[in-house]
Order: sequence, then structure tokens, then C-alpha cells
Amino acid sequence: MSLQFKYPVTDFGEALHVLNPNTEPEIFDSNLYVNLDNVRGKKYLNHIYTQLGVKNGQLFNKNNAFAKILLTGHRGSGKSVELQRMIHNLKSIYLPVYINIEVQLVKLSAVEPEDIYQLLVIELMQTLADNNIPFSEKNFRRITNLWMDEQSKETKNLTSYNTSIGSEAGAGINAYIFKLRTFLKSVITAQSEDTDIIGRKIKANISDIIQNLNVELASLQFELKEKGYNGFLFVVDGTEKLDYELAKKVFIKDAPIFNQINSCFIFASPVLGLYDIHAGQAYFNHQILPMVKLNDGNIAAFKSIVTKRIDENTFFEPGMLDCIAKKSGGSIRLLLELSYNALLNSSFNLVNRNTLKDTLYDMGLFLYQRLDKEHKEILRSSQADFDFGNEKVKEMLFSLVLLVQNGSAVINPLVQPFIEGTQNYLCD
Amino acid sequence: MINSTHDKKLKKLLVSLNNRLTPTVYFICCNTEKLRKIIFKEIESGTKRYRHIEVDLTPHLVYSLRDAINQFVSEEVKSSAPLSYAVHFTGISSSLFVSDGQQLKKSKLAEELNFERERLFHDYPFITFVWVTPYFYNELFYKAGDLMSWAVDRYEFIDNLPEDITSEIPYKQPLQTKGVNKERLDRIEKLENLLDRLNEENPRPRESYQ
Repeated sequence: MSLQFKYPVTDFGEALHVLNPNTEPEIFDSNLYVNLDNVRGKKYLNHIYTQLGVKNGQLFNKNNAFAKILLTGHRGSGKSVELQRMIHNLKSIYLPVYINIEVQLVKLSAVEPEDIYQLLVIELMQTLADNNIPFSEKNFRRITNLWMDEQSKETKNLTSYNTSIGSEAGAGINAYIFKLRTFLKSVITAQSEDTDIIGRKIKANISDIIQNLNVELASLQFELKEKGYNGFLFVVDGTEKLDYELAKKVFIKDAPIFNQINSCFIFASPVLGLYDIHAGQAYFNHQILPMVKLNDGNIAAFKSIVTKRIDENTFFEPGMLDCIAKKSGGSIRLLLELSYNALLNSSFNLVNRNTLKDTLYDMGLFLYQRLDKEHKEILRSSQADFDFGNEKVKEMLFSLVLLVQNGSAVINPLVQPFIEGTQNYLCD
Repeated sequence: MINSTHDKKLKKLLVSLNNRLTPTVYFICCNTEKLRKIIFKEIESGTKRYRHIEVDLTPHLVYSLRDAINQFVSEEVKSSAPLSYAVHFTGISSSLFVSDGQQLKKSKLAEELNFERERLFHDYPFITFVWVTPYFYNELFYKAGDLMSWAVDRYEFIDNLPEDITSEIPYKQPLQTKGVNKERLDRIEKLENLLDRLNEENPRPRESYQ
């Protein structure tokens, strides 16, 4: 349900709504986007644009290699938002094919790497159709038939599906795409033997699928140039929801497969994966979205993520929001969550020292109580030197108990007082 | 029993519930069934704007909350006007473990909940309450981090006094009378309540769905 507000809001219920990460408003349409380039640094962004042959918003290298970029970062660090911004900034140069795995693959337990290849083809067709770019339906059917052989009699469902596809084909490409999409969801949801059959077919035909896809991508170049695009940019978001083992398979073991596709890709991937990726593979150009490194000079820019949404003076006593920003450790998600909880604790009154203390204590305690003895020992003994290969350290990175800043891990400021045994929960 | 910490959290929870503009998901962690029932009643009486419905998932093997919603929530509720209902899912923690032959193993329920986050938050017109045990709550923290980072409305109610279950056994001696009588039925009811609570606090193994 999308609601419209006049920002910054002054109504209590509206303030709770717009601070809630699960009701994230359309931040570009609502002018809520805060450019943190000066705070984060632009190194990662410049690297990505250079890989894509773009400088100052212009294409400087038309013959750039087909870049495969992994953008990693903490949960809530703003990866999806920055991906949207990149799409927006590059949309006159590359035609984006946006894939949100979380939205489109409905059930984790049945997701296989093969499903992601299917999604690539389906979303490419959808993008072409949406942008009125003519393409050979017949050739694309040839690709989809490599995983769904129309002659197949292997299962009843698959056969009946293909019969259905055949009859719907005349209704146009959108009907065909809809059917492909529905079928993909249904085989995943049903966990039927069709899933295995499709998986087997894709594995067996992967070279043919890639080869045919590359032929189609090449043949579409003329149409793309006509429209002013240099090529496609596949943007794959939501992969952090994949099971860790599955993500490792997709991004490490199967990385060479993606590497063979003649198109540019950006993947948003889990922060945990970066250590494995560092460990052995060089198929992707890897960029880390840095956490915001806070200091007195940039705290105002960071807290404006909140003050663009809600009126600071209506809800906070002076200095309280600055303290929340500092205690968030540079995590956008924590900044919003702490602000949300501070408002709830204050219940229609201004957030003051007492309610802020309760809020910071509760959040710190919540994180601290999740730690076992081993976690706590690591935090107490390795204050500045955490072993990223250690499983317990990985767990703490994943759960934001540890935050990566400038390549090294630091203890979340909310947890620090509990580790030190002090009661210094505020920013004094 | 409700203490001052519970009271504070409860107040915060009610402020959140009574000021919602859109449906969402609440995670409530309770370490005893007795406390869960008390908190439930407080929520029910403190938020009259919603019609509260309880869906007990204890008897079912749940591997996806979306599937459970599809299966156990009526069409009337699923197609109701936004924010008319609050649906409380209890007993989901008992699907955290499954039995695989002689082995007891964790299911993929936490990971699945993580994956279906977007849909749980955005697809339904009602407020979803997921009542969990402390063990499952911890599991969600590590295995469903994305879900929990969206679930800013999560509340933990812990009764620090360990319950002495044995002191509540409603008899010390076997019944002398035979047949169905009020005293026997009363004992059975009390024992069943105790059993429910033990099941909630110590999830029993389920048949593997893999």
C-alpha cells in the first residue's frame, strides 16, 4: 500500500510509517534520497562506472569488455538504493534489465542456480517487450525450449504446460512471458519433479543456452543502437536472501557461466560472500559499498536521511538525533530503526535523554543477548583484529554486531557498553 | 506475571499497533505459555480497532508461513479491508525441528521466512503476529537476518522466574474413583494445558518434509 506524504512529516503515525524500513517509500520519487558520496567516498562508484566504460555520465569506451560487477555491503547499507540510482544514472547508456530475486523466486527451499538463468531470459524478454524493441520471438522460444522441450513427455505437468503455452502463443509475447513466469513460480512452489527436469535440462544445455543467448544479444545490438543504448545492463538484486551455500554456488562455483554471457551485469551480493570471493575467484569485479564513516563534519549529512522524512524539532529534543546517528555506526538501517523505536518509547512526547537511553539500551541488549560465550570472548579479546575467516566472526558481521569500516571490523557502538561492562549508553 | 519491564514493552507495542497506517508483521517472543496468553490478552484488549484471530500451527508441519497463511487463514480475512484483522500465528516454533529417520534436525523454516520477507510484509491486509520461543527467536536472528532487520516491531517478554511445572501437577495421588467424572476431566484438562506449554517451550520433532 503506497501512501503519499508531505515531507518532512509532523504527524506521529506518519512519522512511524516513513521511518519503518519495511514501508520504505519511493525515495527517488519522494525526493528522500540523500547523496552520501562525500561521506562514503566515490571510489567504489568510479570503479563501477569505469568498468562500464562510463565517465562523467558519458560513454568513453564503447568496446568495453562485458563487465561483471559484484556490489557487496552490509545489510541496510543502501545497496538496493544505490543500485536504483546507478540504473537511473545509466539508463540513457545501458538498457537495464532489473531482476529482484526475492520478489520473483517465491520459495527459497526449491531455488536452484538454474532458476536464475531462467529469470535472466524471462526478464530480458520482458524488458524488450516493455521498451517496444523488436526481437525474434521464435529465437527466444528456441532458448526457452532448451529447458522446456515442447516435445517433452517426461512429465504430465510439463507437457500440459507446453500445450497451454502453444495455445497462448498467438495471444502475444506478453502472454508467453506471463506463462513462463507463472510456470517458473509454480514448479518452484510445487517442488515437483518438473523442477529437477528443468534443472537437468539447463545443466545439460547450459552451453547451448549461453551460446543462443549471446547470439540474440548480438543480434539485438542494432536495435539497441537505434534507441541510443550501448548494450544491456543486467542488475540482479535480492541475492542476499539466497541461502549462503546457494549464493556461494552461484557467485563462486558457477561464476564462469555468468562470465560467458556477453552483457554487463551488476549483482548485489551478501557481505559474507566477499571473504569467500576474496579467497579464490577472480570472475567478478568486486566493489564494496562502504559503511558511512561518521565524524563531526558529516553527521548532518547522515542524519538528513531521517530529517528529510520527519521534522526533527517535532519529535526530538536538541542533540538526540545526532546521538542516534552516532550510535548507528554508519548503518542506514540502524539509523532508521533507532529513530523509529525512540519515537515509540517517547509516545507522542519529544525524544529526550531518558527515552533515548532506553532505546539505545534496548537495542544494544537485543544484540548482546543473541551472542553466545564464544562470540563474547572474541569481542573482548580481538578489539581491533577480527579474523574474517572465523565462523563466529562471520555470524557477527552478518548480524551487524560487527561493522566493516575501511576494510576492518569494529564493534557496533550499541553493543560496546555491554562488552566493556560500562553503562555509557548515551553519547556523553 | 507482568512486571515493569513487560509493562514498558507492552505500552510501546500498543502505541505502535494503534498508530499503524499499513499492515505489517510483529514478532513476539515469550518464554512461557502462561506469559504468552497474558500478553495476548493485553494486546487484544488494548487494540480494539482490530479483530484478533489466533491460528495455532502446533499440530502442523510448517515450512513456509505464506503457505500456512494460504492454508489456515480464511478467504474472508485474506480479502478483508486493510487493518481490519490481526492474525496471531502461534506454535510455529514446533516446526523448527524435524525428524529424519532416527535423527533430529533443524528445518529450513528460518531461512524460508527470511526469503519470503517481502511477501509477508506486503501481500496481506491484516497485521501478522508471529509468536515464537526464545530459541526460535535466536535462530531467526542468525538465519533470517534480512527478515529481522525489517521486523522493527519485535518484542521479547521473558519471565525470569523459572516455572516449576511439577508444582502445578493437579494431583499427588491417583484418583480412587473409576470412570468419567468431573475430577478426572478436570485433571485431564490441566495436564493437557501443561503439555501444551511444554510443547511450546520444547518443540517436538516433526516428520521431515524433505
